[in-house]
Amino acid sequence: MPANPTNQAKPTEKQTIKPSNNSSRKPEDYSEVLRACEPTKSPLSAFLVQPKINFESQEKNEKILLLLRKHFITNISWIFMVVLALFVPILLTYIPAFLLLPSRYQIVTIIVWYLAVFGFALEQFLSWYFQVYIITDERIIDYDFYSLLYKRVSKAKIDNVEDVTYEMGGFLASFFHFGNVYIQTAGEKLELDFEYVPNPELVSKLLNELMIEEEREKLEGRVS
Amino acid sequence: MNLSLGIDIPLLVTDFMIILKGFYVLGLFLYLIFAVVVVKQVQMMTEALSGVLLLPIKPLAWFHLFASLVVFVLAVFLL
Repeated sequence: MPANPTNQAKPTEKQTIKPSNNSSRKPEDYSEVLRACEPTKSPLSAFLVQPKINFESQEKNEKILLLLRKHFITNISWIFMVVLALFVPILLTYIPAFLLLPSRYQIVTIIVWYLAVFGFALEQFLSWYFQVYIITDERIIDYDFYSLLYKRVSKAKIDNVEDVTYEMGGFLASFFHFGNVYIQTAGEKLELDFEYVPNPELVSKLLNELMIEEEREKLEGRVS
Repeated sequence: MNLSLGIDIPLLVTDFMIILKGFYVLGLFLYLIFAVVVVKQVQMMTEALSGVLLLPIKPLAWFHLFASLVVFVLAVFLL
């Protein structure tokens, strides 16, 4: 049974209490999901457990428990397009208009084509790689980068989560085990959607465990 | 060689090549701006997320910008 912290100094309003005494519990203590999953080491993973990553609005004692991306299989369409595009210069040699150009124009055209393909692939990869969903021990954060210089960050405290639903349907989703997780909140942002994330049932389970732990903390007076 | 219409073919071809070069240079200049924006985008993204489990994306973006600049210069002086 954790020690009662009532004899400790009263915190300020802005201070989030996570005292470094026996009353705080490690996430592994209350989460079966975190106990079952090893911390992730692969940077290309779409399901990173307790990653060594920081985000810009992270609080001092806040820990990232899960960082999610869309399943890698969602990239298959642009990867396929890039592979096809690599062979387009070969087809150019069959186009009479291209062959009429001076050789230096042909060379520059081919170089420009490959540069454009590289730029397209880079942009698609960045869009997948940095569009992340983060679950910490305090909050849920959704980073959306809609275009080149436009980002939207949606946050919700675990306290405000009211309902968690997940769905998994279709051939690809069933085969590769990914789906959507819908999080209803009581905050300004009513719903956060985690789209095409791996292991949606584990995500849902972790969120439920965090909600239970938040309730426990309130009952035990460990949160301001 | 002159056609019966009085059009000078070599001059026409030269004009066409100048216009074509203009399109290449303009297109590559716009692409260069895009490459700069990509570098800025990567900077914004790595400020939002940082840590050891992130790939070295910044060198990739800078390489893309450098390659765009080289191709632009190539188009200006080679074409």
